[in-house]
Amino acid sequence: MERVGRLAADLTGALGRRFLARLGESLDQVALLWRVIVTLVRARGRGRQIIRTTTIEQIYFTGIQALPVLGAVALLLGVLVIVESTERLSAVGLEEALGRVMVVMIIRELGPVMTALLVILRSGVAIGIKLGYMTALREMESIEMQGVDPLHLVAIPRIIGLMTAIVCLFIYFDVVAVFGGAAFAWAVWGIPLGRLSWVVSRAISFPDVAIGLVKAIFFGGVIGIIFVYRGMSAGRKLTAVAPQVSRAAVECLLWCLVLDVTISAFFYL
Amino acid sequence: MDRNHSDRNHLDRILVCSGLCMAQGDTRLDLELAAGEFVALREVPDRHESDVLLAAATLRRPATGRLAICGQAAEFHRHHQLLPLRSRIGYVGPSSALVSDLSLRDNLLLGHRYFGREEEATARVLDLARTMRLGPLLDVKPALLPFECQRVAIFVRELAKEPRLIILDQPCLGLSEQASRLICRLLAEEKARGVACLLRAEAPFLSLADRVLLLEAGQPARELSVEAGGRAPAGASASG
Repeated sequence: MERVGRLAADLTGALGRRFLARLGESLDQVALLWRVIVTLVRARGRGRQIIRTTTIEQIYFTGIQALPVLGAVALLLGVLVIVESTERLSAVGLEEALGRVMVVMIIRELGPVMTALLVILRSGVAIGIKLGYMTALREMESIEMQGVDPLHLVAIPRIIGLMTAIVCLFIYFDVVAVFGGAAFAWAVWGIPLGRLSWVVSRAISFPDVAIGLVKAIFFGGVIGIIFVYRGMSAGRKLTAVAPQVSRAAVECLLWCLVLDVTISAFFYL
Repeated sequence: MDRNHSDRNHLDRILVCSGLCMAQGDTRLDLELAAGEFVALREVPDRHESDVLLAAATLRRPATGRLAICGQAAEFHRHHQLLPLRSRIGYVGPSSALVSDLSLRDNLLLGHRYFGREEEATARVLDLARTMRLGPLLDVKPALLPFECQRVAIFVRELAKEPRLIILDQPCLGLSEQASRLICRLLAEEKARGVACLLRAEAPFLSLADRVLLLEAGQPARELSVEAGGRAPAGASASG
């Protein structure tokens, strides 16, 4: 009995320590967000040229280079939703609801989440590794010794670039998924294109798109902050970079889903 | 008159360390470094990287004590306050690095570009780079350079900042005798201009030092003569 009690105490102690550690990290991430905002204000106007170049490079890497793969994912998902929904809804005589289903599934929910997932896998991981290596190899320290805040020079352009790119990718995802999917379904299964376009255009509303955009902006911010935080906390050990980046990817996915549910609940319930 | 003299003395003190201690039981360092003064440190046991030098470069927070550079106290809990201080310090340590994404030219001009001083600094920085025989390598990325060139480039980058205080930890690392001599010559010019320097006692840089301090764990820092500092192995008895 005494042994069971000790075991339970150990377990609760371990859980408590784990929870406090996670809480501390989350608070550190919030503090980093605050530092980003303060740095943006404090260092405004400095290093404009370098920061602009890094931001554009990040938009190119996250946005432009991801277009083919995101296009393919969006197209396949669009086709899947159209084919499945048309069949199921026709069976119960609810073909009119197809537009609403498309809007809810693709524009409201899947669009932002799938875009975020791709950005986490492609760009977030790359940012985490880059910053991790820069920290471990003391490149960050060298930048600081020039009197330059690495957060302003290295991290902020990447966060801004990532947020900009994710918003553009979200719009691209929606367009390809809805219209590309419809075109594909028409070409392969002969589902009438005109009718599909008509039901979707009737069902879509400004708030649906706006909320999708809000989600994309939040996802971009969360992904940027978490990967920057994890990358910069890798310390001086190169071996610490991989575990930090892996943790960042899992955290980002989790936080994006939590944000997705929260924003949807806030606006639609 | 006395007051003016005192003010001038205060301004002349580039680095002031009072009760600086990096860890419990470690050496407590009280040091004042005047303009144009070079002080070498000899540590026992000889460490890979000197904590004291890192603290003087404001890169490591000391356990206790205070540090002021050019009359401005270093507040380690206020990151943004440290940045302007760091821009006045030229730090070359064993782990100093160049930014791997940038060419050598961009590395040397990074700080100047960031603060919008590129036009006035370019000629001077590139002249310094050519003096150190880095001219043909300016457009090369650091990873493609031999280690010695990377080390020399770090020296050039730090000297091009026109620092008030230079901190050198393992300055000889990776340098040939010829490169070391060239850098010593540049440092001697800096010394004549009133730049102060705190360095790890290593020949041939030791020849520039005005005095040597021996740091032993748990003991107050002791002063050695330059000859004794260069000659005595770590832990040997002090003569100064």
